[in-house]
Amino acid sequence: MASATVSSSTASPPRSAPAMSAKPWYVRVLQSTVGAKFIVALTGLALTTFVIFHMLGNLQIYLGRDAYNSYAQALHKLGPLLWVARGGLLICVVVHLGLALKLKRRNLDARPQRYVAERTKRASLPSRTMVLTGLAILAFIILHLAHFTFGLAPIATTVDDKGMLVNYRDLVDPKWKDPLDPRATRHDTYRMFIEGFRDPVMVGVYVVCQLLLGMHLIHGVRSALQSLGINSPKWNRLLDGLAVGVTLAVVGGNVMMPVSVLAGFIGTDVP
Amino acid sequence: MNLKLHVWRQKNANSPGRMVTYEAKNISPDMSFLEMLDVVNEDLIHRGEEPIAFDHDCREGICGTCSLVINGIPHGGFRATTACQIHMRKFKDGDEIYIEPWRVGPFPIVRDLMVDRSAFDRIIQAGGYISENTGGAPDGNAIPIPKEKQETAMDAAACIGCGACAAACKNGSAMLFVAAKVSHLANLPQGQPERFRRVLRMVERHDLEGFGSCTNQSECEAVCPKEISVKFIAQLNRDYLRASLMSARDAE
Ligand code: HEM
Ligand code: FES
Repeated sequence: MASATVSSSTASPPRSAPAMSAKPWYVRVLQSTVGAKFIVALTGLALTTFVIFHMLGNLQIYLGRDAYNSYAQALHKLGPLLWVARGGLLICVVVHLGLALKLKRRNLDARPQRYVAERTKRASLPSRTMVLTGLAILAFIILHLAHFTFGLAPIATTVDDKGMLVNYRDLVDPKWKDPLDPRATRHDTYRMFIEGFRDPVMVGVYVVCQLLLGMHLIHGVRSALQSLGINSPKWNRLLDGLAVGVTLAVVGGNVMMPVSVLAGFIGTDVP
Repeated sequence: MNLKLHVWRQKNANSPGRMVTYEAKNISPDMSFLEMLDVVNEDLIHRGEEPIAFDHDCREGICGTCSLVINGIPHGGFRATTACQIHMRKFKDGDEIYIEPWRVGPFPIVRDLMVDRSAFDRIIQAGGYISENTGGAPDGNAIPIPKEKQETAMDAAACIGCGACAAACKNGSAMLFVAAKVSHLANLPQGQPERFRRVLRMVERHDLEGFGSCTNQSECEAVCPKEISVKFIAQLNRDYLRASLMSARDAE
């Protein structure tokens, strides 16, 4: 069979193999299975980094209204930078998803027929459900943005002190005063957070989605490192631990917060 | 022992195939798996039926020709064992055994359990070689090679090109094969001059043949009869990255 010395019936190994395709190198890289996988890995790790900091930032909900609203205010003061970050995230999601789905299509074509006695020896469940968990994450991102970023009316509405319906976006921090501008107000992100998780159904959806995110990450982080060529006996145990640690931290943190609200551990100061 | 076999039968690449059930009677536990098929075939020939076509050559686990998916696993899933090296004592009397051909798009079925693996030959032709001017034989130890490098290269060179990696891969990717060939030469001084051109060309050919992309499930490593490690896929990824980022001219 194929070996390092070619003994082909048609020709001896070409001294100068046929020229590679004439496309520019970056197009070739992006179109190759290995190159496309680099990009999936890089965007995946970028999104993972975002998810870690998103979780850490939100843990400030445990510090109370003032701390949490100041954090939210500080983020919004970033102004144009915030939009750069959002744009970057959007690009990461679109590229990650686009290339991952393109590769998936290719992979389905490469294996047109399954075995009658199809069996799996090592491939883990998370590794075999990356597209499903990925699409679930996409659905969750849309829900999450509708819930807290865009304030979609049916899921982002509550009742204010005067008994009027009010959108989460329009909640005002009752305690905060700007020392320089007496008319200035700031958004009550804290109350939005608390009210957002008093619905058991919503909390349930968030928890399930975080578990699916965890499945995506437990394979994704380790796989991304391998795709980037990072695999060495000296570091592999540490890298395994890193993948597990990141996954547990993200899922643990993100599940703990909504559950704490629902269970009444935090947010008792919101009527 | 007596066994019930479910075997994929298919006349040629263009006709549809199906599983056919056969009885394998009076099989000695000392027979090899392929000898068991030989017995079944003798019987088929006596009855005037077409024998089951399957690939084999050395029957000692070194040539990479045998290619049977046994009970859903290429080479049957016995540690570091090719199909030809399996003994029937690994099975029990009365067992049912499913035998299928490699199933990867770029390996079309020739007949029954035989597939056309010339896609691998073309990947090798794209770069899996070194160019050497002939002349007087060089002194064996003229080029010093560190022991660890030599052993790593040998681990990769153990690949017999059977294609079980691609057959096992849920994505129909042959990356373990390509990685073994790339790493074998990339770890030796003789492989350096063409190192980066090699990896670019072999991956390009791999893709052109229609193989899938690796998703790091390690299903290939689990079935490889030569226990080639997926660490070589990481090496391939590194070399590919370096080759791509280097000036295009250097790499080609
Ligand atoms: C927007 C929806 C998403 C979809 C449809 C999606 C889909 C996928 C798919 C199909 C893969 C390839 C799986 C494989 O090669 O086995 C993948 C890999 C990965 N994903 Fe996602 N994903 C999404 C969102 C995310 C998010 C939000 C993160 C980070 C928190 C993430 C992190 C990763 C990582 C780290 C990898 C590994 C890349 C590699 O294997 O080299 N993904 N994703
Ligand atoms: S026939 Fe040579 S390896 Fe099995």
